[in-house]
Amino acid sequence: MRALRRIATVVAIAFGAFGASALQATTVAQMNLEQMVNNSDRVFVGTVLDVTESRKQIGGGELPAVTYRIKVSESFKGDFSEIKGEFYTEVTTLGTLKNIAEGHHPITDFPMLQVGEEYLLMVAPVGPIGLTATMGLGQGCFTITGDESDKVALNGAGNVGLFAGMQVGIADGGPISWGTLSSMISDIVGGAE
Amino acid sequence: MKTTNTLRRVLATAVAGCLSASVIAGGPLNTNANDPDGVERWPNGGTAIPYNIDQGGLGPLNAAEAVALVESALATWESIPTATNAYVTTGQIPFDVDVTNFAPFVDNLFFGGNTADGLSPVVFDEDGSIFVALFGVSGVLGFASTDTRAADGTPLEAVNFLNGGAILDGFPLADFEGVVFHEFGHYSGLGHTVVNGQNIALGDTSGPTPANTYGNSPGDQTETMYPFALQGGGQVTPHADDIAFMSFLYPSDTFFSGSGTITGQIQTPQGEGITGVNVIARNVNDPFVDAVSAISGDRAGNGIYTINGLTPGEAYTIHVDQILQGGFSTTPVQLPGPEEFFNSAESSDSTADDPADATPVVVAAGAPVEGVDIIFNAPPPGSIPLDDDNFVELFPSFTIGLCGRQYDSLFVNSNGSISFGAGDSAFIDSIGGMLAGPPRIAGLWDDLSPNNGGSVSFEEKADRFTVTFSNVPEFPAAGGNTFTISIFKTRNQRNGVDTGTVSNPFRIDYGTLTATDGLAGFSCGGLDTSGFEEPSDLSASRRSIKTRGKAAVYEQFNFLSVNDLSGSTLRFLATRPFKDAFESNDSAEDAAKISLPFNTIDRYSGITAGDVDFYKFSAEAGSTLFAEVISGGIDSVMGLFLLEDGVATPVAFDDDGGAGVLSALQIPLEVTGTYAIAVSTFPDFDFVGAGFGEGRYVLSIETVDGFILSLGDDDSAEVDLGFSFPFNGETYTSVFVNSNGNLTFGEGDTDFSESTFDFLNGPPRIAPLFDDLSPNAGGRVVVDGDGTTFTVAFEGVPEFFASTTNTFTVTLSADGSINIAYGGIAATDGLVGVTEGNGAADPGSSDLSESSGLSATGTTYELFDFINTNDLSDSEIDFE
Repeated sequence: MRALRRIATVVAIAFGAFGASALQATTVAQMNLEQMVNNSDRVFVGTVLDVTESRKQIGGGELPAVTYRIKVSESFKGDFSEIKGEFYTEVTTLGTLKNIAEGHHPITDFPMLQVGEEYLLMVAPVGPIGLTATMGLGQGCFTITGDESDKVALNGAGNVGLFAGMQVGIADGGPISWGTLSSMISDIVGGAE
Repeated sequence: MKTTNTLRRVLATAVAGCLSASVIAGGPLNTNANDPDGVERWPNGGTAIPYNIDQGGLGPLNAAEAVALVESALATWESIPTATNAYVTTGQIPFDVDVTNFAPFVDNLFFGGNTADGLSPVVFDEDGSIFVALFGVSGVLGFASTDTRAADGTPLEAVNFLNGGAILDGFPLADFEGVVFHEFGHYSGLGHTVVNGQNIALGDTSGPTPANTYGNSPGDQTETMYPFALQGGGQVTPHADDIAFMSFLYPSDTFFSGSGTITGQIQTPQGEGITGVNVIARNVNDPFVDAVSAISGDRAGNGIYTINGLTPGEAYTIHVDQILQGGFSTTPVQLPGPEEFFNSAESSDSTADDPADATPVVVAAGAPVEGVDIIFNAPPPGSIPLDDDNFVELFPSFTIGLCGRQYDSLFVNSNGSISFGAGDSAFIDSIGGMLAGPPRIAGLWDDLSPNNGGSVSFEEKADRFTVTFSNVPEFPAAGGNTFTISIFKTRNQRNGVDTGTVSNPFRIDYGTLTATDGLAGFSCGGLDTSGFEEPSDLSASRRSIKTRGKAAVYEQFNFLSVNDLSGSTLRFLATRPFKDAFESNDSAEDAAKISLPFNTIDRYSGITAGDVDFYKFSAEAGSTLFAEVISGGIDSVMGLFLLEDGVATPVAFDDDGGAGVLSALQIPLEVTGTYAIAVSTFPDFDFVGAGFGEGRYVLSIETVDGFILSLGDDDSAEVDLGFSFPFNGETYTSVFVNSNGNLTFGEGDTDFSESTFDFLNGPPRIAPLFDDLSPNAGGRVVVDGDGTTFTVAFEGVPEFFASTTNTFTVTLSADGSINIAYGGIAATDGLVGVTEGNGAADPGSSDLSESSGLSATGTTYELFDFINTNDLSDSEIDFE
């Protein structure tokens, strides 16, 4: 128990490493659930429908970007477009289709969503040229797996630090019941309003 | 330890998309094939690692304070006595880098370039505006990398971006100093490591789990290059692990001669080297301070590890440890056996080799201890400890040949299948997963739960290797399912004769199955299937199932076709290697001659190492060429060449224009002649066989007469008819082709919700299938005319967010007649008919499939819905 108790207090920053030419070591602030939800522009569960590639003009040059079109099945925070009775949103991030296909992003720990997969995403406020990312990169991206009665969620950091500093009585690290997590998110969003 | 074990299990399964995996080995930060040790490191002993500091401040720090922060971090790295790394500035960046001018510094990183600009910028994003532009407000604090390399792969320049805005937003400055220090470790060539951090942060054991051999580490003994910064972790001071690796990269004259080294190989139970295993050496007298790690295969591959920088005269235990979390240069693997110490009884026999039994290794200065190999223990025959949605790797004593590929291990998957090359935890059986996933033999791929009942076991006999699922329930604990998958040795294998490539027959024997659904059979997996293999009735196979030329034989069961395999036996003959039907076609000169339309669904076409494929055909000017790699696990590139007088002239090129990273070309042809389509893999843009990756692909090439309309969802385009078309008392020379399956006159219509009211009150309309179609999502709309007739063809167009498609053609003739010819129609709803519109009277819905002599004048229609479903597939309707 000693170690588990310490987890809640020691994890502060996640460093990203990389393993191929021209890939970057990235450092991301570690955020707990409350911080991620409160700082996100959009928090929702959705299924990625498709992904397209484009270029963004910025900083005296251009950078590659991919846009995920996502069908939203459950929304906690943010505004979403209603089209033909369904809700959709788009998330545009740095990257290329090739990054996604190869599972290898120049920025380590950068989530690369897969078409057809369902995610809980906590999306950061969009920057001036429309680019964004999930909060804390992999930390704000959760896969949801399991049967309807036994769903669990796990983020790109293995849920490490997810409850750091929060008095919730849940150990950090490892999958969390979807029911528990979604209830906590709703409470945080409700408390912020 | 429950948390650790659960995390271990989940990380072993794919966290699809949320984790960015490292796929190229390199325990140091990057690899360099030209380096004697295979690692990327700055030249000349790292004695002049360049940097150029930005002008301006960093968050709350003024320029001088920001410079001091960087110089302090660099000085700490330079202070390692056994390493020669030193950092040299060639002056400040000549301008203040901000959000208006930073892009050239990251071009190489994002576009894979290698253009030197004479600078290695340490960018102070003073207010965070660069990071906000790149990532939104998402918490990214910094990134660093070498970004320009000489011809021999040694770094020339690097970048380091630091987010001052984060400090302004409240990120503690003291912690930010740790970030800067850690990032310059990467900048110098260090990758992530795990020695004590996992014990401190995640509660992992200090020896091979479950043995917490040395107790717990002091909290301040975290290695700097641990993937997480731990408050109070001591990471601003380099740990022995960091010192050892920096010294290995940039050794002083006395480093190797004055310190100890241990090296060896990490092996599977079969004795094959395995890359991606963390190996930790702990001084038995000072296990947390004097501890150094390596990841097997990080320098030389093949499971070799080398641990430098050990204290002469001291004894070290060596153990293999599962990496639980974080991004690493060498991709961590799930261990193929329990964690264990190196000992003198090292073997794969778990009854002889106790994982907790350690034989310490004493090191001496300048005399590497070699051959410290650790062999993972093989699970003993019998019950396999499978959790829900889990897999375990097993190692038969013989090589298994499937579809021409050879495997030394197999994965037993909880959900009722065995696979090769990779495990699969997917609990939803799918034809797509069967065909595109790993090679697989599925006894009953279903959501089984061996953790909730029954058992899974394996056994190797003289002639076969068997895996038995015995009375295993479906999730959560429903019923019981029993079956055995047997893979038979070849005659030579039974006689102990090694004949190289083998092909093994296999069999599935079923006991009682309570599951009514699931998927059974075999698949060669994504490298060899076309993706178009159709299911078959397995229970109808009274004799052995032939596999020659077949990449998959399978059946999927559901409530309409319930599982009928209880008590049956499926015998599969040995599979055979596939032969590319079009080789040798590695140049335009040797292109395979084909006729259009053409596809390789039923004939094997694939890319192997160094391969490129050319296909030549004749085509006429005025037609439109469609060429597409419609399936395959490769990252394809495609070129179109015009062949004239022995010369191949490039006409068009595509990389990722098809689905995902597959290629597609759509080109109006201006010249009648002989053309060639070339298919290769990225980045073989010259089509000389210099691409990466291999596997089967399906190529489709065809030409169509006419013009392709580019229609979005709920879109409309006006097109000239080329003649005057009489319709309901008016004469039209153009028509609006609407995305949603209808033509209108006088104006377009983007209405996606078909209704009788809209039909009658809209513009004059001809509706072959007025429905919510999405030509932007699939298929195409082709228009063509000859001066007296005009044809609009919807080919393979899906409904909005549907995967099934609809094909139909409507032809308008100068005499006013209209013909609608249907191919396959997947839509069950929709409205079909003609109307003068503009408030036309409603004559009521007609049964068009039962009507004849229909008039092109006035209003005639049929409305299809969930009661009256569309029945017009493969029929024709004439309005005259």
